[in-house]
Amino acid sequence: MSEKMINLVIDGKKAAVPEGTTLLEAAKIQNVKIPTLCHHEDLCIAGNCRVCVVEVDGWRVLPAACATPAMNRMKVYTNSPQVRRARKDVLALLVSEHSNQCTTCYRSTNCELQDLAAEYNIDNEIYINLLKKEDFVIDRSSWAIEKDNSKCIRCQRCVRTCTELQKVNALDVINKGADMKVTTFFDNPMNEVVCTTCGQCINRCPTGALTERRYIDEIWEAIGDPEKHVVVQTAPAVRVALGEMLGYEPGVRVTGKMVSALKHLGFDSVLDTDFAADLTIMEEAHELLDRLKRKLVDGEDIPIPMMTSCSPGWIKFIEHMYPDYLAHVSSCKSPQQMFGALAKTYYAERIGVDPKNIVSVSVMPCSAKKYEANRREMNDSGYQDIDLVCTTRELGHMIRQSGINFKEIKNSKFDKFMGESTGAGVIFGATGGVMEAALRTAYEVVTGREVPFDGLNIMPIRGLEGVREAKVKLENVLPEYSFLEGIELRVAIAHGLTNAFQVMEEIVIGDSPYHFIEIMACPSGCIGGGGQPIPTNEEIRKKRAEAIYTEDEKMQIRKSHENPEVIRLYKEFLGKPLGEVSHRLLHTKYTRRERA
Amino acid sequence: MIFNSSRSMYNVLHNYLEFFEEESCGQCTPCRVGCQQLLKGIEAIKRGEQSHKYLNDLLRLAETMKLTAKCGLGQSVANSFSSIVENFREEMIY
Repeated sequence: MSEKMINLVIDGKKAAVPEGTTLLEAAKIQNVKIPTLCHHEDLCIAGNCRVCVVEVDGWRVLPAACATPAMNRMKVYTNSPQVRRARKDVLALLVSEHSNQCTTCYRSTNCELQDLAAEYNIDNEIYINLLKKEDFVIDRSSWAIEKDNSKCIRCQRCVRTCTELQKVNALDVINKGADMKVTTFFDNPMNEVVCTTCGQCINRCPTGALTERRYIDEIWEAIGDPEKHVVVQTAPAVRVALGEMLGYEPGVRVTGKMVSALKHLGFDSVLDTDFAADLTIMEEAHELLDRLKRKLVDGEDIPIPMMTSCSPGWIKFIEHMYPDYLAHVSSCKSPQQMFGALAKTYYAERIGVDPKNIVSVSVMPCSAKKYEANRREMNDSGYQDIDLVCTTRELGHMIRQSGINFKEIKNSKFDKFMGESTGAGVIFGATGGVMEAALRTAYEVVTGREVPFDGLNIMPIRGLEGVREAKVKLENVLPEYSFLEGIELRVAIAHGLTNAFQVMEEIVIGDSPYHFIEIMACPSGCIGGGGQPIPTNEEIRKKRAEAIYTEDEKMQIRKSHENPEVIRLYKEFLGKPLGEVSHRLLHTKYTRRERA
Repeated sequence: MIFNSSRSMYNVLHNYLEFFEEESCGQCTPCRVGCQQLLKGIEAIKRGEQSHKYLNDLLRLAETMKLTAKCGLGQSVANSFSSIVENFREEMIY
């Protein structure tokens, strides 16, 4: 074995672990779970909560297992009286600075502090409660994210998420000692700071300090209103994660059950964002070809690479950080907003309902979609295109409230007009999916043949590496695309805004070799979105991604341009991709925003 | 450290704890919250809001801080706290 092994004793049992393994990981290998709070697999080590302390023979203090490497001849005790007492004290201290109103907390039963307090029997308040009146003021200024300081235990997972994964730095620590707290720049409200509303902080908050702004009551109210025709759309990544809210293991596909449940909840029509994803591909693939033509044939100064626009967190990021490069972003609206614009025009016309009586609800794996739906320009249908957005988590809560036995419910199919989807629409939920779907369509439009990959699976662009790239050579193209003959189409995929930053910097210095770049704000794409079930980690996201690709393979139609409802939509309503109606309803403009 | 017998050891300890509460960086739980609890704790006992038995809880807490705090500051709070409370217990209560 080339790797150097470390020999130590954990709870009286000999263990050999590779050099560099922490005591926390070493104990895990020995099937011993050490409790943690500030530790998160996606983030760097902090070692500040001190819940994971262990006893080491000969050491004066109890080291944090998450931050201490295993060393030769170490004798570690993970469950000694001293360790138990210390952990209990530390937990009691955390409880004393945390609001103890668990019954009215959105994260109740899904809270790491609550779980540990129960595990260690913190069954009375030993210490004096330290909360002050001003701690209970909740910041509800953002459309997407609520911040409740009374529940913050200062573990700084959100801070590390915002800095390391997203490079946004909306949240940081201020002051010291008793006054130390996690907050925004100058303690400003969340809607006034540079926050992309991606919600990754929510996914990693161990308590209820950061949550999405919830619209559950408003949705129930709309459903209960007999005057209203309530349509709901569900994003591709919801169907592979919703099960986690309802007793399934990660990676179980619950598409059919989800549709049945939504019908049971009382929605008048259950439709699919995947349909709009297919439509996005039609528009976006043609936009790419149009840009290439204008650049190569007409010699216009067209910004290449083109970048995707499906992720509202990414859009807000580029608007704040790189406002000079907004012309690189595709003008296509995201699938949610395309759907919204069509629901109150095309769909309303087809079913003969006055659009003013339509309430358009979307279920998204995302908190930024809440912000996107409320953007001022998103009303091309003549009304607010999307009225209410709820997350996968909120839908899980609604299904629980409705009382149905989700596991026993039968499968149903999406409703007509905007419910048909293809495998290409489904894979939008995973990083690389938009690119794969776009290539399946663009390649075929240009050459008349399917993409030259086994079973349509473009494997080089799948996976979870931060930035991935691929090349597709265009040969024997159709006559109208002769300007692309012999060109090697170069594409890149980035997920997580830190990786997006890397790709953007290449463009800024004029060194970007790509034609088309897909960017998703969240790690692993929408399956790791800020509205997805908690907890999240790479293993869970991998399972969700596998489920997405299985869903794609099980689909009969796997190319966006073959979606029969999309074909019908173009024939009866839109005309052609990038046509006049498309332009009015399906494309948008972006806003320059301040960097601070 | 030497103090004149006329000095109130409660005030000395109070002064120490105010210093530690202020100087804690706030990163780790034992030091950030522990310092506040020790200070608030002796105040509450002095005011009669907590029983004198609460001093035992605080001594135990100080011991935990010594063992679990991330740096020397939090680890050293117990030195002054335990020494004063154990030797001048009645001054903490009355």
